[in-house]
Amino acid sequence: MVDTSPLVVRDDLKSALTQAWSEVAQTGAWLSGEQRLAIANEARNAWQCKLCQRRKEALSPYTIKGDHEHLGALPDAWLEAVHRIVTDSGRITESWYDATIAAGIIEDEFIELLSLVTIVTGADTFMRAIGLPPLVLPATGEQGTAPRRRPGGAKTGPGWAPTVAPEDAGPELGDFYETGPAAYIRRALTLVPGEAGRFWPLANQLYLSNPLRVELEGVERALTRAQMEFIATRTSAYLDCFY
Amino acid sequence: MRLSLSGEHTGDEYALEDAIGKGSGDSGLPQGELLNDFVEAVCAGDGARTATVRQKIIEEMGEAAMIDAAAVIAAFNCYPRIADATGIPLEEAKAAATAAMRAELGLDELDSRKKPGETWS
Repeated sequence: MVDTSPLVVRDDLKSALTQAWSEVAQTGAWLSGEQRLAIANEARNAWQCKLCQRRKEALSPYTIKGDHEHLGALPDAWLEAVHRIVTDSGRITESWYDATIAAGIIEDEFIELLSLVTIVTGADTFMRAIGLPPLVLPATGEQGTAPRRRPGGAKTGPGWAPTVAPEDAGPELGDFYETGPAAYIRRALTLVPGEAGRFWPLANQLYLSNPLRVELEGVERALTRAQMEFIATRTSAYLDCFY
Repeated sequence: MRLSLSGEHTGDEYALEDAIGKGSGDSGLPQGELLNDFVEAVCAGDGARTATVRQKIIEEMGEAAMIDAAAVIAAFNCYPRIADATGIPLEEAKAAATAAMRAELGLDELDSRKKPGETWS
């Protein structure tokens, strides 16, 4: 869709978007292609959910009970995870995370789900912002069996979920920590190295591969560094996140 | 808070309270108000407003700037969700470096990043 548009999108961004999207319904590290496709479709559907809308308007989302409006392809705990991450991530608490895991999502599955939901939400946001229709999801997911193997060196922290710290990284993470800053946010998906490898190449092109750079010499962007940071800060504030 | 660091680097002064929503201006940034309108329209899912602001950005800043602005909005629809869903804290060094700014902006009063016993984790 980006290819056929009259808009001129940077080649590196177009390529990263195309690559990320082509992998949405592929077999993952912990989830099947069909599960991944169901999560992607549900991430889009979450915006229409009346329960999520009521929770978003409430002083606390945890006081509003009910059932999500869903597409019928995911268990309840997975639905809650997808819908909450999409529609009200800023008020997620450690108790919610613990309850979600206890309700039937393995932490590794949760990280893969989270990566997938953010890729779909990010891609949809970009397409909506530039005025193009959303990218099309395939009708079926790839057939195959997820290997479901946790990488060596995974430990809980620095947040609620396990991650692999740079000093503990084994061959599963390849050169992940050599190709970008070892900030905590970059560690967040390392429990599932394949997802860290899927999400960050897209994020690097949407924003910057090295957010620590103060100015943009040598980086092709049509905004100033300050303008980029203003947009970033305003968008994060909109999501109630001040990370 | 790289907006502040960028300002220090260039010698410009930007209003951080505007950027996090406490103010209503454009933070003193060139085209700040226009970019703010774009963020709000896109994040609100307001198609008509998005189309109007998109066209204004193309006219005033060029198509490439509109696309890069859209890309940053998309990126920051991802990072917060990942940080929020995994409880990823702010690094201690960053917390120390931005302590004064966080106090000024009241960010420590927000609980999304807090853990027991910590003011900002």
